[in-house]
Amino acid sequence: MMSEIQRLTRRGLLQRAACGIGYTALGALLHEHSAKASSIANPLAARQGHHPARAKRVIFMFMQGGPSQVETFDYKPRLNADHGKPSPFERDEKVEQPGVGTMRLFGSGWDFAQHGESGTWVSELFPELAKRVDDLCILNGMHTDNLAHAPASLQLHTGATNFVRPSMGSWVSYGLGTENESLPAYVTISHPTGGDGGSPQQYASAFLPAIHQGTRVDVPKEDGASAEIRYLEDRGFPQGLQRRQVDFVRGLNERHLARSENDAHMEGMIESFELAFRMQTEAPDLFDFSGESRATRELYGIGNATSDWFGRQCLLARRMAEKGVRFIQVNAPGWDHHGQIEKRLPESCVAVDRPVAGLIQDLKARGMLEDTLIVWSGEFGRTPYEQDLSNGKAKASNYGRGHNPYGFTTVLAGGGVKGGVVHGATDDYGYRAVSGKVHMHDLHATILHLLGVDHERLTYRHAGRDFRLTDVYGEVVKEILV
Amino acid sequence: MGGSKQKIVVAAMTAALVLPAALFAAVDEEGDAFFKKEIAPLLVERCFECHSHRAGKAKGGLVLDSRSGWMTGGDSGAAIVPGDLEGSLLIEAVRYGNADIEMPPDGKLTASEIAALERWVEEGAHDPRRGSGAGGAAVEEGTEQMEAADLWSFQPLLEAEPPEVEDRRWAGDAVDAFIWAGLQKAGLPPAERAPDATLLRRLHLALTGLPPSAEAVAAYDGDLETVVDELLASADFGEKWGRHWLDLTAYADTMGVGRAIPALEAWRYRDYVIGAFNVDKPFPEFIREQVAGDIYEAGAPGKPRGVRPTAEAIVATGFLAIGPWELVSGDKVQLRMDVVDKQVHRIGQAFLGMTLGCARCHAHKFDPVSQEDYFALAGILKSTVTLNGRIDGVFSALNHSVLPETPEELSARAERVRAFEEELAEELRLEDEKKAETALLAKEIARLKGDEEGDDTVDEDESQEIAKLEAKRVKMEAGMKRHGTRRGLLEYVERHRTQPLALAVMDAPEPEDSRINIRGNAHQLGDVVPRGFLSEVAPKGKVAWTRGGSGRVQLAEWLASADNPLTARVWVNRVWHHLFGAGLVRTVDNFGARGEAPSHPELLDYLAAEFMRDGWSTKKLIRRLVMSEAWQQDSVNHDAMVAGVRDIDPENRLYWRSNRRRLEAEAIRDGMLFVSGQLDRKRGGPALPVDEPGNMRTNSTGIMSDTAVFPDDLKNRRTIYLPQKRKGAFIAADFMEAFDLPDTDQETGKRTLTSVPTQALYLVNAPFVQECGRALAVRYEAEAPAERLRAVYRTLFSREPEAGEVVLAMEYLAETKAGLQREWEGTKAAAGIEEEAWARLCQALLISNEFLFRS
Repeated sequence: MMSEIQRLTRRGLLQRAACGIGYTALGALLHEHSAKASSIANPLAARQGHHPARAKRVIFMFMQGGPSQVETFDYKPRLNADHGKPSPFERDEKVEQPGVGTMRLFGSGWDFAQHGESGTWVSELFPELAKRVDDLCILNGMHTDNLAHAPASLQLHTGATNFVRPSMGSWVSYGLGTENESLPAYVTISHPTGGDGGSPQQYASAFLPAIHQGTRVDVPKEDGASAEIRYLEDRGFPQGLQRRQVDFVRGLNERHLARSENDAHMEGMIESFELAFRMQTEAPDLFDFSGESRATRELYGIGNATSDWFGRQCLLARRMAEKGVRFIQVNAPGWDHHGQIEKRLPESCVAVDRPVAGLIQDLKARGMLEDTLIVWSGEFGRTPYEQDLSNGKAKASNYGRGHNPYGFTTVLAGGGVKGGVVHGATDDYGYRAVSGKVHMHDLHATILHLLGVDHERLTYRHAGRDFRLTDVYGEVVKEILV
Repeated sequence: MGGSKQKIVVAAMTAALVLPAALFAAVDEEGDAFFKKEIAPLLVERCFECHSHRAGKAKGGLVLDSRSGWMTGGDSGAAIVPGDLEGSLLIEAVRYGNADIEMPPDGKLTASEIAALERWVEEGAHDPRRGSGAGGAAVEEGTEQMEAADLWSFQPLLEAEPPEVEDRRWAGDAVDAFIWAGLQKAGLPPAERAPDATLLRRLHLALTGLPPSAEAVAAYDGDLETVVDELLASADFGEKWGRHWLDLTAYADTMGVGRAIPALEAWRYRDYVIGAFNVDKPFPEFIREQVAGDIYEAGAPGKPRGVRPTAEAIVATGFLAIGPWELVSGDKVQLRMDVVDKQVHRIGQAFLGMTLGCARCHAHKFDPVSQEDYFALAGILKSTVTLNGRIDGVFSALNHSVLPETPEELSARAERVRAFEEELAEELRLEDEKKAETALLAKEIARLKGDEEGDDTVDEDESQEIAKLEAKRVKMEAGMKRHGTRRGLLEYVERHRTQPLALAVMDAPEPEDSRINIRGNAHQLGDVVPRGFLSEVAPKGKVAWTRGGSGRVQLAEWLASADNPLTARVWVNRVWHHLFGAGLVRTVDNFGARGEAPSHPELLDYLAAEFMRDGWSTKKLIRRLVMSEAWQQDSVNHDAMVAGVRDIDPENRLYWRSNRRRLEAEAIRDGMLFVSGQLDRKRGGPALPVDEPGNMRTNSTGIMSDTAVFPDDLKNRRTIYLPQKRKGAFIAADFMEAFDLPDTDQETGKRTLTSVPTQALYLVNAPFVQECGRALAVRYEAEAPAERLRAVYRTLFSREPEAGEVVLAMEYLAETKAGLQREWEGTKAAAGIEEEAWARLCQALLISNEFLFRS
């Protein structure tokens, strides 16, 4: 809290200002004051974690729907050899799990090869990522609690499958604040809100203060359209006049504040108008790619019909990372390949392969990969046995795979994790994680650890108890830390 | 508070060393003694750090702080098989024989410690900890937990006499006497009475959620009491106070998580709540209807059997039926218990101010609530049907109950259905006609093109005619497509209109007690717990289980009992919170040990007792509070500043002034519509515009689109009537999201009010706000500029502008006009400059703090 003297002095100044010093001088005073106040009260002020951070920021890539691990990063020769044999897995009696125990094993239709100095196996579906494999840390022993999209996606984002909890990005914003107060600390780009369990709940702050919720930025799918934040601009009204209007409102508010006793909330409203105006000025620059070279665009796969959209998301993510946004989420929906995996999986892979590889290369070239943590993950993986939605009527080319929470792949890069590493493994068929198991809670604990935050100490008191992102679970995966 | 917290800490520390005998059932005294002396201290010292609820850790999923903990075991299975040394993982681990599991990891136990554990397991692993096999009722949590006798809110109401008051202004009502005495004791002077205009604005906003009209302010003759009575009697009252209750119920018009599946009948519950506040339904009745309305009449002691519940009472159970249920969950057993859990949580929070959900996985850490208590309540809800059948595939459906109809309602509905069928027939006829017409057109085009005669020359006239017909055909087909959608929707809506249904609960055919779910897992079951209530909360054992059924009738009786020390206190405090901006207990949803103690305990109890004496009338309570001097104080108090209030009571817990507050989302939006003359006063009725073309995305479950359009007869209604979506808002209602409307999936008695930049962006740039500014400007456009500004000020702020304010506003107006002149000179827009500048001025006033805050 500010001291009474500061408050009273400020009030005096404001009263004088209202009598005619004018808005410019008032603006300057306000700014000086807010710098002082913000160090005490601003919930977004940058803060240190519990220990030195390896990563300053996170770029989280949500592969919505659940990518198939056995066709991408988890090489299973035995599955290919046993293709067509009955699936040997037992059904979990308590869960409605379509297909298990009745379907046949379904081998990968794509070849794997070893890449890089590390000799890591990567499928031919990811030719660009394969080139960057020595920067990747591949977690092949992931597992999660639920096999439906909505709860599993919620767990990936919040740790909980079925309760209202703050999103990982909100926790990071709450714990570390932001390095650029003209922009929000947590941004999610084109977040899916419908179908397959996409939901605003995934970027919501729940019981954390609302300022920590993810700010939605939409990158339209249409070619060339730039990103937008809702209500960022009023194109029908000249900007100079809008500044004048905002100044007039501020004048009204200062007069009202001077008549009242001080009120943190009213001052907060005044501040929020200023931040809004700064966002109005800064964000459009951020969204304007005209200064990016052709080579950079190509690096991100922009211009290619399939990868253009996600490429633009990744490029925007890099620009936000440069500007100090703490937690940036990009989103690639469409991985829910129950059918026609032969046709649709390659499309999903092309959509992200070049953009992700390009982002890694670009960050590295700018010296930012070492303190930017990239997380690439679906909410779960897919079954090694086939799923035939037509009950045997369709050709094998129409087959797909079901949901698999028991074993799948998450990929990390940069930000203090080892490159060229594969950690953890599933059984011979890629069904269940059997070694180096990493639960969603462990993934969250590790992400926070890399940011310098102890997941057991980042807590918030709500409804009578302290909450954490990792609930009572979570262990940092020490083996993958640099 | 300091005292009680300390107590908890001390208790927790002792727990590590001493295990109180009270927690052990006297079954096997020798075994008990051995466990207590040899085993328990060992577990506490060497294992609990990673395997106990107190440490908040269950490494490998294993807890050792209860019998069921090791029986269930962790990810690798049961930790101990009684009598089987080789089969017990715990023994294998402490022996350090297997490199994969060596426990404790930081150093092997001594030989004698290992021997003690071996003896214990060999002899059957006798573990007397609380209720043998009873979930994670952890040893040390029993002692951390506050005793019922120490928790203020579990005690009967204090019989307090109002203090003597020397100041005549404060001598009128007991409420003032208590507040005045508190201020006296602290040496603080109260604030002056607020000016009339401030008070009127505050009163209107507090009671109806709308600012007073300029006319109402002008007509005020000093008789505040009459104004209060008028406002309490107006139907606006329920729309404001009903919303406060809905906040506690996770109300929304869609169901499921992730997809917006229409909950077409949810609005009935919303209207029930609004109506209950408007008729000032006595609180016990309000409880009974919401918890057991479907069975109360037939099940209450002394009531005849077989009495059918009223439609209203069935609808009221929407309190339990509507919620954020995860319909698509694959694990239906767990889903059912998750629904039960949220219902227990909701009942506990709304009526009792208790966080009961904590006791699902273990004894409540802080409050005198055991896991048995939790599952006693859970059994009641488990014997209640909330989800019923499937919508499709793995999607569970909500239970819908058929509502009884009066003969008048029946014939009215028959009339509606008839009209509906006529409309439908007409639509279909039109569609057939258009189909035929389109076919004719296609034929004509083909003829002109000469396809039929083999003559493929097309002259210019012909080609023009073809283009014209082609355009007509395309247009008609597009029209038909829309028509097709409309037809589908009409049928869809009809299905629901032919039979009045409500989202409601009902008793399960076979009521059953619940078994403890170990660590909250519905598949790991512990002991059966008979249905019942919180064992430490009065009236203990006084509610008779006279009939079969789920037990909801008895639950309602127990909640609504005058002996229950929580119900009246919690509700009175909620009302105080909404009126004063902070509760006497500021943690309005938590009256437990982790909540705050009341600032004025005698006043709280006095009000609770008076509330019950007044027939549990919420309106009488509100009336009394707003007529108090305490409530009518000004929001500034210079005298208190001088007296050093910042050191004594910076948070205004003693009420030395009125709390200034930002308006809630609804009051901002409703207020903007009201002052600009646009508010649509239509009340009640269905919320979801499902029959607007394009609003539904058709698939098996039917999903409402995020971008659903609100028709004209919906969009300017009060916010409480706008469709509420789970997980975020419809884009057409994004105002609510920007201004802290609570997450529809979370019950809350206290909204957080934030100031974030997205709000400012909304206020400045959103068309809704700009249009309100424009409408406000138009409202007084007949007046000369100075009077026009004064009228706007009176409407927005209930006061005249000061001379300085007039100057600033006129300056702004002139500059904006000049600026627009430069920008728009010579364009069509130039004609609207005057109008535009006034619109912007009005918008600026509308988004200023004086409008957005209540003084």
